[in-house]
Amino acid sequence: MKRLFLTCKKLTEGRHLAYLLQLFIQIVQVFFSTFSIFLTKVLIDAIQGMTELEKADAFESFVIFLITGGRGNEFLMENRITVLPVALVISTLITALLSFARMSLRSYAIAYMNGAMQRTLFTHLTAVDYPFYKTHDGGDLIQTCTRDVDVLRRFMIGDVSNFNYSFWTLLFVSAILFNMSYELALACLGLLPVMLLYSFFLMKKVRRLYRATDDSEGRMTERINENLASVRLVRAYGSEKKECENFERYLDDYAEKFTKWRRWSSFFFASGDIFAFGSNALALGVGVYLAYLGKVNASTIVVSFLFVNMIVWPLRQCATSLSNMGQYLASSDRLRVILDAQEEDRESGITDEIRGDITFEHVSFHYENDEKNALNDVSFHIPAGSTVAIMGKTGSGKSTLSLLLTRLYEPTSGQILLDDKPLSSYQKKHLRKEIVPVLQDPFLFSKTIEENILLARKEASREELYQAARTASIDDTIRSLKEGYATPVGEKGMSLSGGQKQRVAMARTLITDAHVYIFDDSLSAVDTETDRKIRANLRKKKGDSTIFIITHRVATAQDADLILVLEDGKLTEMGTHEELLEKPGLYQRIAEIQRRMA
Amino acid sequence: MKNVEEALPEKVNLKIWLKIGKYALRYWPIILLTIFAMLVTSWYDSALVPTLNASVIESTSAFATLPLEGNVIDVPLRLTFIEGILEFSIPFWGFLLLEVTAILLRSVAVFTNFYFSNILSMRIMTDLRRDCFKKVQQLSFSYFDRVNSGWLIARMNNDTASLGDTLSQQILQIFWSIFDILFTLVSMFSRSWIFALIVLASTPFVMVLVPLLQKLLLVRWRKARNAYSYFVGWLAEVINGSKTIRTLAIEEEVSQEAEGIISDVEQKRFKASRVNAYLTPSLQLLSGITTAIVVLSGIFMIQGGGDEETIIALSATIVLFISFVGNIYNPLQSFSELASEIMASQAGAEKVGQLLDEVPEVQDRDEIVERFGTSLAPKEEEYSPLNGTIDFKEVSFHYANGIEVIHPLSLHIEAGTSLAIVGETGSGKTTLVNLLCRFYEPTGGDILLDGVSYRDRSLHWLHSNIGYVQQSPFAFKGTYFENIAYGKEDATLKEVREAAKIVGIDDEIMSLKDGYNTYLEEGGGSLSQGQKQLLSFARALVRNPSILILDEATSSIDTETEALVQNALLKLLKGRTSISIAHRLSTIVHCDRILVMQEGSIIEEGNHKQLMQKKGYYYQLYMNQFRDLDIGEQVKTYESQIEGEKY
Repeated sequence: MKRLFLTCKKLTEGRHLAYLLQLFIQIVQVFFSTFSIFLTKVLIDAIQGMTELEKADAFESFVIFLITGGRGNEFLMENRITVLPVALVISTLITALLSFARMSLRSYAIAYMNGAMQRTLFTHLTAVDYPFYKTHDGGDLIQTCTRDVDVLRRFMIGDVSNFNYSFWTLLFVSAILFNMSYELALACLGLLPVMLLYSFFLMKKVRRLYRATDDSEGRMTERINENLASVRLVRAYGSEKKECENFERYLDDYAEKFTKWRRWSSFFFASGDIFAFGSNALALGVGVYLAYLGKVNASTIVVSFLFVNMIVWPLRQCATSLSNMGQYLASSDRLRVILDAQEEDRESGITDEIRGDITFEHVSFHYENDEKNALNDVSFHIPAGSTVAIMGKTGSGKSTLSLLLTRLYEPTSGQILLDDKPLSSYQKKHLRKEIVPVLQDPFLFSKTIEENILLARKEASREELYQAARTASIDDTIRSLKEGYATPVGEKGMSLSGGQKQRVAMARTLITDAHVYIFDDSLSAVDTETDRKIRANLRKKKGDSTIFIITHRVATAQDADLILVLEDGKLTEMGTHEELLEKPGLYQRIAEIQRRMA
Repeated sequence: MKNVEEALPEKVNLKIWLKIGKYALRYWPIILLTIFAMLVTSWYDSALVPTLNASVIESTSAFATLPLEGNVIDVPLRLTFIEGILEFSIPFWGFLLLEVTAILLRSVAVFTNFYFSNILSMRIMTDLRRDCFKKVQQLSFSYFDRVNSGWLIARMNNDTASLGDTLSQQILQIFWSIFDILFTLVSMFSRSWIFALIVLASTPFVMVLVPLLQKLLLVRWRKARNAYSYFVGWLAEVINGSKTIRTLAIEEEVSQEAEGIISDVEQKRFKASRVNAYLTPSLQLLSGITTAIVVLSGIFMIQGGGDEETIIALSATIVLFISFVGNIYNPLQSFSELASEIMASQAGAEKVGQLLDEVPEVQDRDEIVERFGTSLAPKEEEYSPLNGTIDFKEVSFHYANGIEVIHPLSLHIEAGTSLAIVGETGSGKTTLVNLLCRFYEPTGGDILLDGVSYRDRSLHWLHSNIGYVQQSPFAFKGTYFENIAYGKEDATLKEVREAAKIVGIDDEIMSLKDGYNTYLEEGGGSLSQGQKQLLSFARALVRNPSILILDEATSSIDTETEALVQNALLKLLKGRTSISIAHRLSTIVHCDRILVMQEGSIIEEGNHKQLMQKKGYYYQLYMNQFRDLDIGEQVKTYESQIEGEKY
């Protein structure tokens, strides 16, 4: 319970006041509703005449005092043709105004609390440590950010409001009822606790059945998706009949679960109504009896059953809400996973100018849930401004280097020095502006090509944009598209080939003023000629930057100042092209193969 | 990039509702029963309750003036259903009995109403889904080119469900509202026609105001929902692109953009929900004023003084009319709500109707259906076995846009040949296979199987003779057994295991705790691509097909498993006609015949060795591919194919 409260509080940061205020107005509104219903009693008494008005209790007298401006029963009797309608209109006006105020405020609170929730989650998602994304499924995260937020929103807006409404209504109504006649009050309210318990337990069962139905529908949806995904297979195998028969089973299962759920939920509503209308009938019956004994009059009975109607439905809703607590708690726990996730410290650390002199000292690394070292005791030194080629088989640890250099991960042991200072002493934000990788499987956002390239430097000029694209040898390709640089790409846009994507990503990286670039297999999808051209451009434009090129082409690697060969996380060979050709090993072998195959 | 908003339809499309309405009318007994139950409920709420309440007020008011004797249980109470026509006295115990009976009756009616209208909704939904599903099974490939699966999923999941609700609950709800209005009118007029007219006079406001706001509400909520789904899209981008965002250090920019989207959602949501803040208070005000007028005219009537009885009756009448105001506003309000909801689901109805009306492009001729049955009801006893000789006779093909993608092409494939087709993306190799499988039909020429045009046999006959392995291996949700046996209706465990043995996964499956009963989650879950591919090989093999088609079957496999798959492949291809489309050339070097395609024509032909020696287009393709391999793969491929072959 406390967790739920804290989660809600945290999610709606900054919008607490509006929320609490609308709850408060609701209380005032409940008070006025009770008041205007009570007015009916005065109304009936006034119509029936002085004798009935004389019977007024303290509260009724107070109300009469209010609507006559303190002039009392006689005045009311004489002027009832004006006083009563005016009182009615005024009280309606107040109720309507309060409704308007509360509903406006509530709309405001709903909309902006939602915004606050989205903002909070979003901020957390952009701020969490990168490894968080490796351990949490993206689809689940999206589900949590949408569905669970929705569930909590419904709780905060619907259920809490209803609790608030029911509580205060019950309080005011009981006070008035007991003041009029405790016997009648008991008759009106006696069944309610039973109804609450009954509804609570029955609803639990209904909800279980609902979940089963929902699961069944989920399975059916999955089946439909699966069928659509395997449409080729289904046609080629001529298994249309089999698929239909199989689908029938899902339909049957759903129908069975649904029927069972609806049987119970209809029973829930129908039998719950017995309590609601039963309370009403009880109020009438006992009312007649008490009137017979002369203890109450007609107006009291009318007010009492109006009050019963006012309280019985929201109270039943409370039972439903209470039985749904489990779901709220579960949603809140899932949201906590995001809210409590370790945030990355991107702000602290030194922001010294970076030249790009890099030293690895006995660096080892393994992923959290992986026994094997992805990098194993790797040491090397690269002076600023040099080009380094890294070669190795898949899984040899090449890509891990860029993860460590950008500090998405920290080495498990050993250390990395940048310009003779530990890499870990730099401010991450600064570091990542200076050390920029082109990822092996680049992600393009659902924006235009231009927006994608300008992601990291919005202020860049047109010329810089084209320059970056030219350096990445993608300018011509982009211009050949119908919409040119304004072509939308990404999930919702045009799909580019792997090589095109990589070069757009490369342009996106090259437009920054970094001092260290890492090209993670970025040149593999282009032909040798373009590859050579890109590298020449790079040398020209980014002469003083340190450049890492991860590649499997000897031709790409051979011009580098230093070539590193990684095998199973270990650095097995290191040197220039000429040096490595002399030594028997993977480099020599691959150079030989590529020479013969060329 | 933002979703185009779907405007509300202006006109009721009667044709489509009649078509979809048939799905509801099949269940007419349920409909009648539900309507009857609504009648009972409505009678209780709008006729009985006011009468009982009035009776209590009148009787108890009278107590004060008429001192009574005897047991309270026998006190007579007056019940007036229709003044002067249907009114009588009953003792208090009879009153209580009537009340209890009516409550129980109402509960039974509520149960019937709720239960059966929901059952109806479910039946309509499942019927629609079933029909959609069946239709989708029969549609041709050209349909799936035009329509993406997201659209179909939305039709089958969302639209069928909302149509079920519309046709059952919402349309039936209209009856309920009508009953409520009718009973209230009768009660009102039988009580006091003056007051009834006053209340009625206020209803035009409701009928104008509510639909106006209702429409506004609907339109604004749509806008808000669209803004919200745009936000969800952006959220997904940020989650999927988390690495890119971090490495480019653009967290601030991303957050800024999110801020813009979130405040857009906020504003649109606020605007939408604010409409309600006008609706409810306006109605409250209207009913308050109406009540005040009723009270005013009531007091006016007795102002000159009146006898005790009139005054008592009047006070009861006034109380009644206070509740009548609500009783007449509510159904009017729900009327307009229902109308806009039904209109909102019309678009869905149209789309579902469109899907159900779709005619498959590739179909068997009537006399063929007559002879061999359809794919949903095949007459398998008529099927003749297939040897596997394939002839393409001057086959050409163009899509709807008229651009020819296969130029007239003739080809004879002897039964038992392993044939490979290679070429770049767009060269027509996949189209050729699609034509052979009759996913599309040639726009020119004909394809003969064992010398007979394949149009003279049924689609299902053809497909039951084909074994097909697709590019991305597919594992159904289900057990290993079910996954493999999918290929053959009545496959025994022995047959399944034999197929698995041939492709080399039997040992692995048997080593699992539940063996062949091990359950695979959706998409194969923990299986590697290679394992899944072997599974689909086994699936194809268990059919013992006359023609085996491997559609880029090896492109998603890493080199580690390639050797494994390669072995399985050799066994698979042995002794039957096979056609492999391969992107990765290393997997087809053993084929008897290789066709090299470019721009819809065959430009080279021969086996691997011959084509490599020719140093033509094939040689070029091969070399290009080699360069793109990872170092480890290069060494392996070189050793196994170049050094091994010594061409």
